[in-house]
Amino acid sequence: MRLTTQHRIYAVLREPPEPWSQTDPQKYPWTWALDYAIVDAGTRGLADMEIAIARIVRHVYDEPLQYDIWYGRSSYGGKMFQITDWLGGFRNGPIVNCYDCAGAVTTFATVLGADAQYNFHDPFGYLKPVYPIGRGLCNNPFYGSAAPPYDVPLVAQSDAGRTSFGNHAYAKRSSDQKNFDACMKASGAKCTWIDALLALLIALGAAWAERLLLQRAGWLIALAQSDYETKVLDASLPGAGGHPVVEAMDISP
Amino acid sequence: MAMTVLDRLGELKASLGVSGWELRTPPFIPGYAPPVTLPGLDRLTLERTRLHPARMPGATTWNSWVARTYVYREESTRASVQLTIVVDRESAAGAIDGLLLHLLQSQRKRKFVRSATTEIGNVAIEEPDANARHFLRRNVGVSVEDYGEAKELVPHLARAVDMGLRERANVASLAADPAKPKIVHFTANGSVVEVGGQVAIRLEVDDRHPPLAMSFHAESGSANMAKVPEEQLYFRAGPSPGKGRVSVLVINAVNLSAIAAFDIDITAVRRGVDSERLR
Repeated sequence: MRLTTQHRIYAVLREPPEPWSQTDPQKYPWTWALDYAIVDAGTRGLADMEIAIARIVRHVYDEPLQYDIWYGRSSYGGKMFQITDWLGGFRNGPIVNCYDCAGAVTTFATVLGADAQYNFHDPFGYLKPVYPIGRGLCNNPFYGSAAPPYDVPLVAQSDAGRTSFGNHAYAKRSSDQKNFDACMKASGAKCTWIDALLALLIALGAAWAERLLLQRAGWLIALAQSDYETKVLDASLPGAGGHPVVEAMDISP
Repeated sequence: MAMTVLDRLGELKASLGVSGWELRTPPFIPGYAPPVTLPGLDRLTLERTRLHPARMPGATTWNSWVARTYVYREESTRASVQLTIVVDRESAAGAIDGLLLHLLQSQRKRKFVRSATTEIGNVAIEEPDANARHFLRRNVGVSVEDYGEAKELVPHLARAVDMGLRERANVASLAADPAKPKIVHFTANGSVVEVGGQVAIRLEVDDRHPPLAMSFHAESGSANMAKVPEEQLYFRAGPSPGKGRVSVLVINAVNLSAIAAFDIDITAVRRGVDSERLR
């Protein structure tokens, strides 16, 4: 008897590492996650791992989500990433924190085979003016629960009631230790002829130009630890000093 | 010094003096969920609920506690408040860990101190820098947090929840309490399955507080729900012969939970044998 079946084949850059598995069938790369990471995030056809993760960062940051300006609390489990709730239309609501963004970036980058790992950084410290996911320019991230006059996103650098990140989480590549953070964007550089040139180079197929263009626009992608901290951390004030630690990551179906 | 969440949990437990908390002995509260309308807070609308992950990353066993957050809003003032209920199915130990982990899962730098008063709960945790109330009454942990314009609402809600907990009849043991979901059957339709083969799962739960939420964890295979031709839970064996295991956690509306598991032998494919007959 002849039987005709239909199959959908996904090509990824490498064997997906943890939290995915090739031996634990419950964690075989899900097609739902592959669709999100390849089709939705626009990584189809890419051969460059760094750019693939960068596009995941951009896609996660551009989701209809907002940073939790009250407590910085997780809604999607962070490192125990509630993937079904995320993919099912943000069933846990639109408020997220950095654990959720780091969990999402790590989960969807690794399903492509990227060597991304969830990193927890405690203590973190005060922020330079950045754009938390879904929010405006801010150097006082918990203005939602701060007492007046500190209930505003931007305050003076040395204001006593300014709030800081007690801790932070982001994704990091294990091979070159470069950071990828979808929880916030740094203040971008002014758009100049350089950006136009980079855009032209991207059109001509230069992947490295896309990385530079995204970094110039403030995306926190492919940054060495020191460059990352320079962009987001206000080290002139006390509170900083922690280091990122790789934490085990899992998915919660 | 770099710290993990578990390091921070240990630090917080030590600073709060958890080892001295007299919560571990019976009686216990047989679950809790806030009623649809809370006394004196009838203007609040329940916007959504959120179940927190039921396992720690990498763990194959379920947490003994269930944590669920209820998001409320008062439409007329736009005030919003989040109520998190943590219920342990065995004793108070898990409720303590569950509540403290919930408090630590936050980026805001927060300071917690043991409250000297027992105005609410058996043990209350104060947070001087925030409009929030956290407490434990026996095996139930409660956290109420201001999510905007909820200055008066937070203490009101905390008191209303504590009143509700005090009014619930206590029990000496949660093991066989009728409020707890009871897993009557959790088995595979067969004790053997071939590698890559599929076998139906039979799950039957006796429960007085629907709806039920369920989570599955499978080893050497996957557990899933087929939608066609009809809804059917199944286990699909992985590629290697050996022992498979499926565990289930069911949680009812009063946040009480039950667990069950079964083992199944996974054998190599036998040529000439129709694997369909194993279903």
